[in-house]
Amino acid sequence: MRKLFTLSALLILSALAIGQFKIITGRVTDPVGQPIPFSTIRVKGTKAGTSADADGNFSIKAKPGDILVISGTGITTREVSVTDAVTLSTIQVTRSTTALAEVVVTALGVQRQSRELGYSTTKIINRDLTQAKVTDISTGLAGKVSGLQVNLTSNSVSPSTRVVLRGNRSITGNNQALLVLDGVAIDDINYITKINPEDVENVTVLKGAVAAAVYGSKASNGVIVITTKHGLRGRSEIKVSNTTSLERISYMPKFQDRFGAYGGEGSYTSPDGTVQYVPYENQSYGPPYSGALLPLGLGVPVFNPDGTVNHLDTNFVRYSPIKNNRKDFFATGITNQFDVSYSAGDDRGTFYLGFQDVSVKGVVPKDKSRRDNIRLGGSRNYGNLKVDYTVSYNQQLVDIAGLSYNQTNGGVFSGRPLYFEIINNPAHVPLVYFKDWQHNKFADPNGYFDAYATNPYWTIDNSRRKTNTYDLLGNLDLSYKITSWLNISDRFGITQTFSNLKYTRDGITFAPWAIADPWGAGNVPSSQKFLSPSEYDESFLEQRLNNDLIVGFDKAYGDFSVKALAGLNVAQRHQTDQYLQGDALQFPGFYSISSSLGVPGYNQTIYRQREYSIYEDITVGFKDFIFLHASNRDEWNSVLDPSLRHFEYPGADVSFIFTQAIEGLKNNKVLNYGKIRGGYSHVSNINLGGNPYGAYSLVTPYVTGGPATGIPTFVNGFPFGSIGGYAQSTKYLNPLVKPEITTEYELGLELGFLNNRIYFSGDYYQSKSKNQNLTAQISPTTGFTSKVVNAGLVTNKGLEFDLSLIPVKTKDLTWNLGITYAHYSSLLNELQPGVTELQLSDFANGINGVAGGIYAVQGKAYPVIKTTDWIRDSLSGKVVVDPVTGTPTVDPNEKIYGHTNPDEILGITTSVTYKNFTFSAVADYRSGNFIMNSFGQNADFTGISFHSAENGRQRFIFPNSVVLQGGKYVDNTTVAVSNGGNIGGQGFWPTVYTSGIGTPYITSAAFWKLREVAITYQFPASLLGKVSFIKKASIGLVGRNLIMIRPKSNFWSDPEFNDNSTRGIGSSNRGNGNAIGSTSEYQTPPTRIFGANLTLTF
Amino acid sequence: MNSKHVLKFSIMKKLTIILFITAFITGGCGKKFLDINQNPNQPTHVGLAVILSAALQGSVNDLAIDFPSVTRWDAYWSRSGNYVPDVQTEAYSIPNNYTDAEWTRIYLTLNAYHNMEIQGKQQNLPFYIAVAKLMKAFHFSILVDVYNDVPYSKAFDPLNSVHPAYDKGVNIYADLFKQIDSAIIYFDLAKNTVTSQDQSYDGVYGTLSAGDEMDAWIRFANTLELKLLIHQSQVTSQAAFISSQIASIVANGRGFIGAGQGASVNPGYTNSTNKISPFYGFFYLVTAPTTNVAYYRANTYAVNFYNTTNDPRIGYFFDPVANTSTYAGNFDGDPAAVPNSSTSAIGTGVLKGPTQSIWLLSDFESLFLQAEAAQRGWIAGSAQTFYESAITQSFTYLYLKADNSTLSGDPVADATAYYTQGIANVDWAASANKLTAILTQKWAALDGINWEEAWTDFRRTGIPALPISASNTHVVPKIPIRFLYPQVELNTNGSNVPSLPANAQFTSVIFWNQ
Repeated sequence: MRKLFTLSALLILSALAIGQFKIITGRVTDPVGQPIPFSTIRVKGTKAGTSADADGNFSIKAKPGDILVISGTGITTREVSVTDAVTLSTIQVTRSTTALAEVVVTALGVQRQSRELGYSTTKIINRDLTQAKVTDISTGLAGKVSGLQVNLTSNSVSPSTRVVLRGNRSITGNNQALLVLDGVAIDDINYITKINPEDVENVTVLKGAVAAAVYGSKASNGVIVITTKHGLRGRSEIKVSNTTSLERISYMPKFQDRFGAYGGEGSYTSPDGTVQYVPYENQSYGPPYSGALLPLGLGVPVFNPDGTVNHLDTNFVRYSPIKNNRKDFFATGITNQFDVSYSAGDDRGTFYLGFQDVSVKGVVPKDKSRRDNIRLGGSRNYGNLKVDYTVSYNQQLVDIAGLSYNQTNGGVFSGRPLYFEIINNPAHVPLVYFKDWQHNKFADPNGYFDAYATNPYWTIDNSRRKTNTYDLLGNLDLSYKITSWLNISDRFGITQTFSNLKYTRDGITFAPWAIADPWGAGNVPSSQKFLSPSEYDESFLEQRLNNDLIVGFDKAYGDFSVKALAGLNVAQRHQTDQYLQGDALQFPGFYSISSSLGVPGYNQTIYRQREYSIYEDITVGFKDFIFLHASNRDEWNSVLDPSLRHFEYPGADVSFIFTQAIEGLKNNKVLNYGKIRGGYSHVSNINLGGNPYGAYSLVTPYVTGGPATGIPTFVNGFPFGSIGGYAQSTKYLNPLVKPEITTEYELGLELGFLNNRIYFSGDYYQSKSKNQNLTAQISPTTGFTSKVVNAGLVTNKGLEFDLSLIPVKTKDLTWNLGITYAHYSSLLNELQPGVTELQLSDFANGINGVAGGIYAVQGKAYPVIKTTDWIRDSLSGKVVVDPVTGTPTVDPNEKIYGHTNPDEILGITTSVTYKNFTFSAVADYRSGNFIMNSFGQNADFTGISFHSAENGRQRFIFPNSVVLQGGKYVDNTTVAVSNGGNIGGQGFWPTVYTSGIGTPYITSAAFWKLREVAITYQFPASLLGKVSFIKKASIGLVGRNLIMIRPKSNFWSDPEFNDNSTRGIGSSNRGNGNAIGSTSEYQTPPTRIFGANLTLTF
Repeated sequence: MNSKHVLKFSIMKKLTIILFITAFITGGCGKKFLDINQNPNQPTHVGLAVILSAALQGSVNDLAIDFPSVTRWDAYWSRSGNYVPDVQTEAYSIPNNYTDAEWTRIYLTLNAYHNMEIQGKQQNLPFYIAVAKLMKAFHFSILVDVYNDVPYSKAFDPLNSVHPAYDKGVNIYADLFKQIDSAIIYFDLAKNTVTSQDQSYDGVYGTLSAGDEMDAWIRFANTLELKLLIHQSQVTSQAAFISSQIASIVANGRGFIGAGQGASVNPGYTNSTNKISPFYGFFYLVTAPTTNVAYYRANTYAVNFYNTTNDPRIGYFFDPVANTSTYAGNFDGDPAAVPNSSTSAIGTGVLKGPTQSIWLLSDFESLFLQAEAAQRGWIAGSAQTFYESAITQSFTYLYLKADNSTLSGDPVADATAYYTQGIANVDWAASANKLTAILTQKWAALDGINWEEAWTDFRRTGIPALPISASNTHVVPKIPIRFLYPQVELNTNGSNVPSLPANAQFTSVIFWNQ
């Protein structure tokens, strides 16, 4: 076989070498050197012809003297005569229109002209992506693509995002888009944060399943296709750029600033019932601020040499609010982003080398991260063989504050988040004074004024989470052109991620005097007494291998063009994870697992998944105005039962360019382009949840001690010496689980007016996801708490509009305007038989926990907030209060209060270029959804909440309340809340509001955001002429998240944030699960970023 | 061939090889390539010994920490003056989700025994069947005592029934006796076949010889039956059943748990994370105390009781107030609760240390049950003897140090001095109502040890007359008599959950509470 193959290859090669014809190679570009892809090149007067590739390169057999005719969509036809030279210089043609000939990278990295596509795509080029110098690609996409929802889920030196296209389909499975990097699928969208945005040539968003059907199971949520730079032929340049930006807290929640410290201590109540100031208190239920000089904390003893107390040293402060005392804890963050890239290319190939260093100092003091990324990409032509490659290395070192040592009921690393310890401080406390906890005796853990909190400065110095991640990526694409119409290529990709988490928290042995609790406060030292140093070490390795073997076919038959491909995909994913946890280390400040006392915690997990697929994809075009496209994929996946592991994904779509088809519409000056399209697809998705990749999810296992999911707590401690203990996992597995199925259709219209000065694209889609792989909560009375079932139906409908306008275009002034709009609805039609609700997450812990959580509820939009409310009169809807105490009661039954995904997202992008100045901006608006600010319960507990002081801490009549009188509810005008007054910690606000009530903290999640603003000045060539080695130079100012406008009721935080992840120690707290719709004290306040940039091109 | 063609040729050759390798890999895409879905991290089959050890740990884990608010309703413990009040417990304003954790924990523990029973039957291992039946009855009785009707006959069938129907509490109780009787038969069967069994772990009576071991388990089974009969003491219609069931217990001849025969579990607790004794672990981590240490304080009612009865056990139930030798607490819910520096913490007789064993059923609880049964004329023997022996065993347990073997004083002498001092409800002879004396002393002995049983006794008999909390925001000023059905159950099995009236925690009775 092999001999036969080489023999035939020999014959083909020799045939090419003989004959009187020469092989002429050339390249078609526009006047500014951008390649024109896929133009047709014919030898005039003959039938011989070929088409250029995506980079405009072509080769054709011709004799000297022949005339080559270059034609194509969107360009004016040009004739060039063949000389003796084998290589023609670049053939320049002029573009007749712009958008029509745009090349889009579709599924599998196949390049197609946008006119051929029967589905919705959006392409974002590098300039638009990086105009505000984002460090993360997903952030740079927000507001720029209709149907794409990007949520920044928290602030951090390594922020996390959630990227969803066309809403949520899967109830408990993954809804985030698939990432395809240089043609290789990477099924973890978070990988996007590891790519240097400057290395990106363009990003194509394939919004729906129709576009993505050929990718199979991973692509039911749409695809983000990223093409990186590989260098351009004929141009060699070095680009150096530096951006420095400053980041500051932009919005703090609204607090009261009228009352100081008191928490309800009996001995601090005056005989007349008024409260006295309590100097060590963390709750602000004390007397009104008076400006008096008062002690803060009760003082630190000074000892005589014989060990007796000489006197108490006391720290006095003014009893009046300090503006921004909490905000001042936060620093100005600094991000420095340095880029250098080298790009080159000649006839034989291209080359690109990019390097980026991003170092970030966070708004939380001492938080920092550094990301270094080096990417090498290029291509090389060996006649008909083209080799394309990418190698990249990325390392990211993140060092952030961990949790405090206070309130560690859930285990060693379960203290309170830093933000809680900051806002806990009464308004008169000069927080920054406590920075030097090593030397300031009022700031160290014994002497800290607050009896119930950790000094946040201690936390940032002694509790650290360091995550180091190293990524290596390699892609190799070998493509061989067998004939002008047949191409075979093999694309191999490997990504490898190694990460290492070390979480350390120092120990404390509290001083005996502090443990003795001289204040009688029940302070942290007397409760905790000692604290051992602890550490947690986790290492993680993941490897993804992917290979696609594709045969491509591209030929024209008269008026028909046929582009087809068939492929074979083989993929494997593998990860290992292990950790060691030493809760009690022996030496302060020394973190080695070998110094741990007792038995360290340990665990190891290994997961592996494989799949292979064959796929076919064909596009038939007729006369360049109608294109039919169909694809199918057969997939076999290792995670399902052998009898069920094969499934298919068919899809079809059509594109009809009526302005080309109908004679009367041709060459119309007003409507220059019009297209109708439609598509249908049927894709399956394996969403087994729990285990990575869904591996090993068919047989319920036995579990023992360790952190595995679905482990009953009683096996946690095993083994005890030589006694082992195993119990069944709490998740009941279903051996015959099938993949979930999403059917989607979409219809679209594209219109170009006035030579595309106005370009409109609109889509309607509807998808139904049924037979979902629900990890359903089941009654614990079954012996299990969850079960994997095939059930549920979610219908998603939506409208998407993209409008791009060039309102002004003159020699000096160009104004571009883009508007994107999407309207979504996501309805949960069915859950599982007999069950109408499924809890997706609970709310972050307040004092008693805000009741309820984010739910999927049958017949409602998905997902919704479910929580408790006051008991209300069913007729008037008003709150029922007790006729004696005037106090409302919490209804123990949780109800539904609004959905958490926006109904609509509007994005506006604009850029104005005047001579050498360019101004660009991005704004977006979201509305229709609600958010649970579970942080509010903590604010009521600590007495810092604004509403708790609205009545001056006096008795008041509960607004809109009714009382029962003579068997009916009547409006309450007389019964005031009995303990709403200044009875401190025992009063209405900290007790009634911390009994689990949820509705007071729900607000609209609508917002307007000015996400990006950039002003760039391009130095004119005349100026640069003096320094000839600089080709281009620009300076710019950028700003991000400058303005956020929210409804007045939402004075809590950024409603785009999200807290739904496990807040455990190994968790990276990404907040990107499906249960969006709540924020908590685990997120620091939103920030605003300003930067300046200098870019030089050599 | 010129050099260019050679280059082309060698590239072609490499390409060909790559294509062939790919074809080879994909050609191997048969069954084997995808047959990699066996779990390398967790086994899918294990022996019964490890299932039993886990299940027993589940049992004591539940008993050690479930329903902690009951410790406050029983007037054993109270809130701390350091913290914002817990309105839910103090004002009896109980939300549905209040016992989500307990409901889930108990059914998961029960499932471990249920699974053990199935596996035991498949492998014909009577010992495991017997323990499973007995312990299922043990935990189901607690569920009935707290919720009355619960899923029982349709529980534990996730394949066919994810919405188990509810059984009446009274019917469940009736069936539990059958199950325990059946367990006794299997224990006897195990006695004869034990040598051939895989019986490497019995964390309760495993140190005894095989014959004694099964007798000990049968005594435990008999005592559990007695306990469930005592719970029904106020149900007049049960009188006939009670006497016939007592007769059948007496007939098996193994008797009840006596002094030193209590059932406890300790797989080898150590001071390492997750390996701490679960009751101790509720208060302490390896690295630091948890907030529960500061949160739960002595209740003034209990402090006063022990003080006025000159009970030396007060120093074991509670710690002295810091820097003093006296004891003090708060009345639970008192808005003027004093801070921890002026109140007593949970004492070292109860909270012994990270290695302490956990009771399934203590000898002193068993002796109090026998005292009540004798006093009621159900069983033979002297009620006074059982009563005084129970008090002595309570002293003995409290005086025991964390190592489970050494004593910190002379409990027998102290107990004798205590119950002979002529005080009513302490000294048998000085007590006008013997049942009041038994139940008062039972309450006094179960402080921090079995608050569910004390709550059951209070609900059943009203003895002792426990105070309602001092909170000023009660929903209804009455100690709750049950918990509401958990939110987790309403979410997942709502259509089967019996509907309860508003404020059911005060009105909806457990079947034996008449």
